[in-house]
Amino acid sequence: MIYTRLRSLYLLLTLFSLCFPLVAGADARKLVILNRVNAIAPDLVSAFEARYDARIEQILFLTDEHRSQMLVNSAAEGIDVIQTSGIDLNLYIRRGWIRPLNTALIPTLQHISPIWRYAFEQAGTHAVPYSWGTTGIVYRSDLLATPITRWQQLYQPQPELQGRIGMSENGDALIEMGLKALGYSLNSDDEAQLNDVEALLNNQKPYVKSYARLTADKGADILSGAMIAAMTDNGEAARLQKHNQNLVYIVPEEGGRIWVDYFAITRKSQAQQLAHSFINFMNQPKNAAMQARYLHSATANSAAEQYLPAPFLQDPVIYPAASVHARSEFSRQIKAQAVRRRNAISAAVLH
Amino acid sequence: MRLSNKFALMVIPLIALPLLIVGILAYIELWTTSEQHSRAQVNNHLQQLASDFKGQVSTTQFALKTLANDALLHDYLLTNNQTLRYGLLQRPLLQKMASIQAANPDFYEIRLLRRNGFEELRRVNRAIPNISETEADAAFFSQLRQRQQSRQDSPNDHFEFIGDNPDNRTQALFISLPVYLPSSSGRSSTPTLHGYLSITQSMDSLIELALPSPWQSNLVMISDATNPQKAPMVSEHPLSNQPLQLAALHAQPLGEWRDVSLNGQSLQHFSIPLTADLQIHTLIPQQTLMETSRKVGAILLVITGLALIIAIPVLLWLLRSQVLSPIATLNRALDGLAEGQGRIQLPKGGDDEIGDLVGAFNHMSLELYESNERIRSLAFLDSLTGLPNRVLFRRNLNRAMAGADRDGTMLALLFIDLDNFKHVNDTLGHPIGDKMLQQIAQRLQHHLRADDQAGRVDSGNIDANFSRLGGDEFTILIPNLEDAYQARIVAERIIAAIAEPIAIDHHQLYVGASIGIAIWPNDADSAEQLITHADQAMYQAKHQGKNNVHYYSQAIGEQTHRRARIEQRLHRAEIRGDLTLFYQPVVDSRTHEILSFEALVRWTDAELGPVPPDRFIPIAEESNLILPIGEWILNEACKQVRQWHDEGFPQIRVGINLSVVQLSQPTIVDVVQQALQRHRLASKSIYVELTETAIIKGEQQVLQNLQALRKMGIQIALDDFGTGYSSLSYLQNLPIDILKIDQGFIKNMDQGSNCIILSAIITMAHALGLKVIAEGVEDLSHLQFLATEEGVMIQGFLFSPPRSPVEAIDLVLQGFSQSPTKRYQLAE
Repeated sequence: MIYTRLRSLYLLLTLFSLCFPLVAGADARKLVILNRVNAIAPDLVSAFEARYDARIEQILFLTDEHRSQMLVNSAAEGIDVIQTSGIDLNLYIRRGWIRPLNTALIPTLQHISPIWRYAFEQAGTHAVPYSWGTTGIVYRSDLLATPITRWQQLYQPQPELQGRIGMSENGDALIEMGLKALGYSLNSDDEAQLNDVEALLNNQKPYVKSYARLTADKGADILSGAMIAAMTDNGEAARLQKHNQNLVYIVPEEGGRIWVDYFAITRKSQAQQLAHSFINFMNQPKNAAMQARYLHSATANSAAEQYLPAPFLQDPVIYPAASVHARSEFSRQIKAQAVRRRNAISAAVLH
Repeated sequence: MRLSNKFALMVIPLIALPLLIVGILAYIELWTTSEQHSRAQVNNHLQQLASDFKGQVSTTQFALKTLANDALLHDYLLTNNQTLRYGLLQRPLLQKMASIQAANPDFYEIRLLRRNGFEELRRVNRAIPNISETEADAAFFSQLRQRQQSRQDSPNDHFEFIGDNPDNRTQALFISLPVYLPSSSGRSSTPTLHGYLSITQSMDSLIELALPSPWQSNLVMISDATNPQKAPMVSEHPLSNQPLQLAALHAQPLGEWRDVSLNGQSLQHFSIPLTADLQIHTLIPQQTLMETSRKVGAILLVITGLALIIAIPVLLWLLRSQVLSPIATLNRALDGLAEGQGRIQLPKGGDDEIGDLVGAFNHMSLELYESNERIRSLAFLDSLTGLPNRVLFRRNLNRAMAGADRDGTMLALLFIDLDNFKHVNDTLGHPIGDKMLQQIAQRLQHHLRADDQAGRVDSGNIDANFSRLGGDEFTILIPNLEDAYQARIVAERIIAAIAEPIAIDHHQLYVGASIGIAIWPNDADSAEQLITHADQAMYQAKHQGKNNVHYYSQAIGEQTHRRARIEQRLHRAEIRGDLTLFYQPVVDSRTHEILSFEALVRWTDAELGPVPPDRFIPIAEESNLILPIGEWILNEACKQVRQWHDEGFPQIRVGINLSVVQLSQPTIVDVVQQALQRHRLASKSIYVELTETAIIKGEQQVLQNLQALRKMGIQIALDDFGTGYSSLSYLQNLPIDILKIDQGFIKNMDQGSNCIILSAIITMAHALGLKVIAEGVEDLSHLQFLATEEGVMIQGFLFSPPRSPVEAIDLVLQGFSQSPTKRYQLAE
């Protein structure tokens, strides 16, 4: 199912890139951004286009894996700005697709908290973070007798949850949270621990309703009650809570993952100047605040916080408590053989 | 030798031999054809298997080639940095493999192997564990390497291998393709081997295509030139567990059926090539391959056998029934003729020769019989008149007496003696006398043959009833008599017939006859006595004068005489005007109003004087004379009613008696209707009366007629109620409107509990919706009683005897003048 959807998107993209030269000829100032669906506030896009007399072309992807696949297929050509997670950013840099930033062109960098800017290897020189958050569990408190507090409740579900849980489509997330559930580090490359997590995932599989990214569609399973609990990130959870007050988001006791999203500029970009302007524009405190509210997730821009309302800043879903930080981890590059092993595990579970 | 044996000896070989020869020839031919057919079918099926197999292989090869040319694969193989390879490239490449698998689910394993056998990538679409990540020691990989080295000339060739998959321990088809790429430096243009792409396929689809019935017991194998010692079995088979000399099979010529002996079993072997290395074989036990042939052969033998078993008996049976059996019958019939068994006639079989023979026999037999009969009649018939003689008469008499005893009927024996015959004989001579006897015999037969109720004779055997005992003495037997008087009727007709002048040779001769009658069993105890008594009665008759009839029994004589007179006189009495109708009024028991009249017939004969109805009505009924008389009464009564109506008494109703004989006629309803129409009367102007016995007999016709009459609006009165056995509850279901209580009840009203019964009858009749008429009311005490009963009509001498029409109407006028305040309501 997911695969078919990806394929149709891919087809759409291919058609899109065919039209590309025509569009390019019509407009000299154009910025192509590879970003996740709903990743940039539309008002900011229009504002930027007006301010810089440019046009933003968004190439959309649904999942991180999908983004990598698109970049592999195109060798990152024809794209100016990539929106990416910190862990994949590192791979793209190693692959040589990313150009180091000209920091002089981005004065707003000063507002970025160093915690997020340097959270991932080489991120500080090659990319600018704009959003961060956690990976946890969202569940329907009205449909569940026992509140969810632990990953194990999701990975080894009780009968009331069996067949009514949603898991991420991202294999790494499945494995990393699985490792946390087992009490290991999410960056473990220990063979035995990976075997454990493989068994955990295989045992869970019969009870999983779907491996997919949650959406806030009207008929979404988590809203209709067909699904009671799901792995998701806090931004998506906050967005969903707008539709149903009974949805509770938690970062389980075993701890979770802290993710950071970055913008980076491709090495082969033909619009280096404009790309830097875009990143700078996005980092202007007011714009960063608008982006944070659009995404329902915390901003990496310290100066933007003054433009955010108190309830937003105090929302534990968006800004988790320190204890959550304490028990959570960033994803790190692990040994290549462990990556291969993870690939095999996620392929077996997801396909 | 008997003919039947001869036929059997001729027929059996004539049929059996050709049938056997045809059967054997067909058996051989069918066997051969079926064998060829079986082989062709196996061959076709194997070709189909091979074709499917090749199709699958080429699909797989195409998939492999597509994947091998994919840029992502090249990128993957050429990326030495493991982190990038696994972190970035592996998943997209696995995706690609997954998409190939999605299109070809049979490719359950797609692998990318390094040159050293390391399993770089493995994509499975079912839960199959991976036993080892290196295939260096696997049979398939070592074969692959060997082949790779031996085929340096064409490095891009595919390699097919069939063998056990250690991961799931099933047989699998491995198809592999080496991947050659320029080295990562890009400087060298010579491609080098970077690894192998390999697709593992299940053999399930080939197993499904195993041979269909009846060859499912065959063994299908695929042999591999590179490894001829170990061939995989495609189909499950007991032999597949035994070591086979497959190298020898692989060396067998392709596309030819060969007998091979494997492990002591005789098998048919057939093989065709699949690919350069692979051959597909089938081994079928000789027995199985010939299964159809054997079945067809067996059926043929059974058919031949059945044909023999059926045809021979049928033919023999036909011969027996059509030829032998008629001949035997003829033979027996001839024996019968010889023994003098009388008239023998055989059923004529058909228009064949045997039929002609039977016809000829029947003709001969008939002639013989008739000549025998002629001889016999000389002994039993009177030669002068042709009537039975005394001998035959005795025989017939005995038979008739036995018949009468059996049926419980009477038999009359009439002895006839001609008067004046001696005189004729003496004066005119014997020849004239003989001729006269002949004519009289003819007259007797002629007159008695006429269908006559009174003189029924057993017309089927009429000759048996007459005989001439000799001289001028004749006898007649009248069987099946119900009453003795019937004999007199016959006798008198005979006398009348004989009394007619007889013309012989210009002479008009007149003779008379005297007849004596004796009745069996009343008048005698034996045949001799019956003859004697009839003779005595005849002498009595002669003694009384000529042309007389005399019964042996005086009582019977008188009774029958009177009865015969009445019947005779009654004939056409209505036309002569001897019958008249009288009318007796029916009045209301309290008001004494005349409600209706009952029409009663009176007969005054010119010779007999007045005869009471109870004397002549039964005779009229027995002789059916009641039909014309009844119709006359009906018409006469209607005519009278019409006249009264015209004279100013339009309310007068008349009850008319209908006899059961009349009511049994289907035409009676029409007769009544016609009478009403003729006299322009409404149906309520008359009602009909009938006796209880008429209705109790329950004849369907009677009931139907009554229903029809009622439907016309004519009321039905039941006469003489109480004399029969009918109960009131029975009457409930009958078409009755009026109940006439028999006069016996009224007359004996004083006796016992009759009064109570009468009262009960009236009450119940009223309850049933019937009107009641009490008959025979003769004195005042009757009237007093009946006057206490409500709605009862009375009829009787107390009020008036039956009167002539004129007197009857006077009665009405009288009543009218006596009580001017009262209107005589003559109705309802």
